[in-house]
Amino acid sequence: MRPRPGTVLLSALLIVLVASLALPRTAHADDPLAEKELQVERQLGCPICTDLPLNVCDNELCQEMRGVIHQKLSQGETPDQVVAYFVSRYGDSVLLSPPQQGFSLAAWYLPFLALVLGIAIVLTFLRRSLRRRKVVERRFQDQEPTLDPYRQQVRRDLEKMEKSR
Amino acid sequence: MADLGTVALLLAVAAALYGILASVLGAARRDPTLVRSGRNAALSVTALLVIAAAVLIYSFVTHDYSVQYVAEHSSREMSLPLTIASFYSGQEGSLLYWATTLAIYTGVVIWQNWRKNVALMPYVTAILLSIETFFLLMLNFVSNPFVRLPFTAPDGLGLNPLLEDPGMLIHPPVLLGGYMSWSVPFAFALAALITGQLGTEWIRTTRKYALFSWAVLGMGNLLGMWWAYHVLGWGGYWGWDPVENAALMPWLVGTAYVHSVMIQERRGMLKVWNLALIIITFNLSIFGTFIVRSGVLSSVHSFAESSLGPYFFSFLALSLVFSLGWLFYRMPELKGEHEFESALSREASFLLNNLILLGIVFATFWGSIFPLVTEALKGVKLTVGPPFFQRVDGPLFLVLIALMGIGPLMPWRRASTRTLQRNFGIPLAVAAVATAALLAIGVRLAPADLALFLCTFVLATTAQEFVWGTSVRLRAGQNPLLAFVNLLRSNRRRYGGYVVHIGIILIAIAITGSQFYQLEKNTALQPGQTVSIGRYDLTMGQLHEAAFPGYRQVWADLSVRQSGQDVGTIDPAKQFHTNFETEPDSKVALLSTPLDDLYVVLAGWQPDGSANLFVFVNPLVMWLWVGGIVLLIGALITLWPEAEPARVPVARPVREGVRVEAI
Repeated sequence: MRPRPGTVLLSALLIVLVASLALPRTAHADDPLAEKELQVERQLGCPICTDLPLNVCDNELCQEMRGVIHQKLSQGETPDQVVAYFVSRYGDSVLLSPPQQGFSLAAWYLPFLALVLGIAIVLTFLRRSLRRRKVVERRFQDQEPTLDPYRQQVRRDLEKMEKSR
Repeated sequence: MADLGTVALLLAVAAALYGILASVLGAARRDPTLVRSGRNAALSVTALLVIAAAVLIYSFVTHDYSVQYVAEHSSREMSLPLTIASFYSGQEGSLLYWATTLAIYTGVVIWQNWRKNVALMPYVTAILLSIETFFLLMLNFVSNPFVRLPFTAPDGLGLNPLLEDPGMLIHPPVLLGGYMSWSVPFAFALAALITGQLGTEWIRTTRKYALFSWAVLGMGNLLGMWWAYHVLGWGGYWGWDPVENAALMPWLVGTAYVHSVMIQERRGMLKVWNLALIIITFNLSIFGTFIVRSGVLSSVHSFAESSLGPYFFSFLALSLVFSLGWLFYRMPELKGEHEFESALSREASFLLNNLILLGIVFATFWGSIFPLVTEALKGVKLTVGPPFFQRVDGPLFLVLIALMGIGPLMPWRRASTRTLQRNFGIPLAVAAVATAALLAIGVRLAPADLALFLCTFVLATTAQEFVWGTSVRLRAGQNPLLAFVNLLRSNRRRYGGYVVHIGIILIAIAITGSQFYQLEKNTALQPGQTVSIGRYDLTMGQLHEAAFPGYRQVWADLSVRQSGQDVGTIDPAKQFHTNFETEPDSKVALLSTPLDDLYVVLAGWQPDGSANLFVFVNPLVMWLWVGGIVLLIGALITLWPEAEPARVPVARPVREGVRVEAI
């Protein structure tokens, strides 16, 4: 069966969607260390106020934490290691987004599952709707062949209308 | 004087309860006298609430600190506009604001529709009064703004410093007004379900009300972004905070509704779906009102915490069960009048747009409540913050933008390959050229390029629609400007909608620029030292400190050079307000240009006179506010009253044509 244009469009959109998940978020690399610091700070939230990202929180604890990040990164630790260090000290709640493991995977993937389910439901609905329509069309065609010229006239008129839109 | 407010609120409950009873009984027994009596009760609720609100404002303006609410939310040294705005700065007052605006809106709706929708109006009145009753019960028995102190305080505590800002005068009332106003489309939808009058009547009546609510809620959100940007001092305008999310969700579902309702108007399809969308939007609006006030989820809005949770949850549950129950009961009468003819059609692309919008709402809702879920199931309170929503909601918004370009060019019913080529050829080419240009000047971040490709595509399709529409009129001999204006007037809804789309795209471009190309430096400067960021050089002058009436201020003066040119000084500051000494308030220094904003926050200082600064360069943020204004203009074009009474529906002959074709 030849793929329907609608299906092609939908799958193209889905691919774009998944692909953009995998791409990086920011890009300015004049200072690699500062860039890494920001990368770590943006993943962590202030442990004592309302989850403000570390890079924009001005209380003393956050200043200290930024100092630790700077120190560890300049000693050659990777951003992931530094993030892991803070998780081991403060627990998962220091992260600004749930970790991609265990139960928290549900946070990340449930929305996409729901969307895929939604798309499936809509597609089934559309297909059923289209099939019902075709059956009706065929039945009437078989019964009343004399209406054919009128039907063609209507189709021509409609096309003309669409063109002149 | 405040006692008059107490009495007005009590009388209002009685009048509202009587009004519900009279309207419903009157409609059921077809007793016009009783129905009219119910309407008069509703109007007296309006009058009583206006009195209550006036009393509270009077208490604020006359500094009546024997009233607890007034003493806790204002002080003698506050300016008159802020003193009046303190009205809605706390829980009691904001509930009274909701109730009063709803009462006034109810009066307006009755005045506009009483003669036109005889069958629906008693139920619309009863439903609006029921919502009103919930708020009145809260105001009378849980959270009364007129409670007196056992003594008269000499002065009030004043307002939370974060709220002492011009934004305070406009963001809360517009946002709360947006939430409140969804009550009216909901009331009409529910009235249609209850009476079984499920034709196009309620849709046609609520079309403008729904668009109005959509616009007001959208403006409320944008004003919140503007306030957050220039007050909160974290360099951004949207923090994916639960309260922000709660305000975004009803707006997104409302967006789905104002689109899918067109399918019902044109093709008589998706009736159940549209009713469900209205029901969800209204309940999310209540949820939004409640989240601001509840403190269930931690938030920058936590100054507004309270214990209203259980009451709001009960009301939400009741309203959901009641409205979904009616929807289920009427399901057999809500069959569509037509079938989908092709997956490549306007209706199908609207359906997809709805799906994506609801997907975003679901992801946002799920992310917002996920901390509660993990706390309940695992005992850990996780945080779900910006990185999560950027990754999950971001791509979905891109798909939505793509649909904004595709949808308006899809013909109703079904598209032929030729129409598609004709409609999409030029816009796709324009977008491709624009993207190539962006790549050439160094914008080489795949998601940003994709977003900007889609944005230019939508701009090009929209421009093409305007050009085609105008050129038809040009050929008829009108001058260009007149042709354009007449085009807008010929179909306000359609072309107003396109203007709204342009506003949204400007906002999307601003978000793309500032999300992907924000520069950020966290630095400590001694007097005379310079920091460079992007095209800006900042040189530190001195730290200053001074006392002002009501607060003490510390600030730094920095001279700014932009691409080597001197552009003056900026002075980021921290203010320590009386009664709020431990929560200093940042005064952001902002230098706004069409290309980028320089955004500097004074984070702290050292004894040696050096200043700790958060310095940001936020590209294109100005276009966010421009986009907001364009959106407002578009909404106004759509909402502007028509010169002639009602337009004759043009859908009829086309629909007949389709039927003939099928036979």
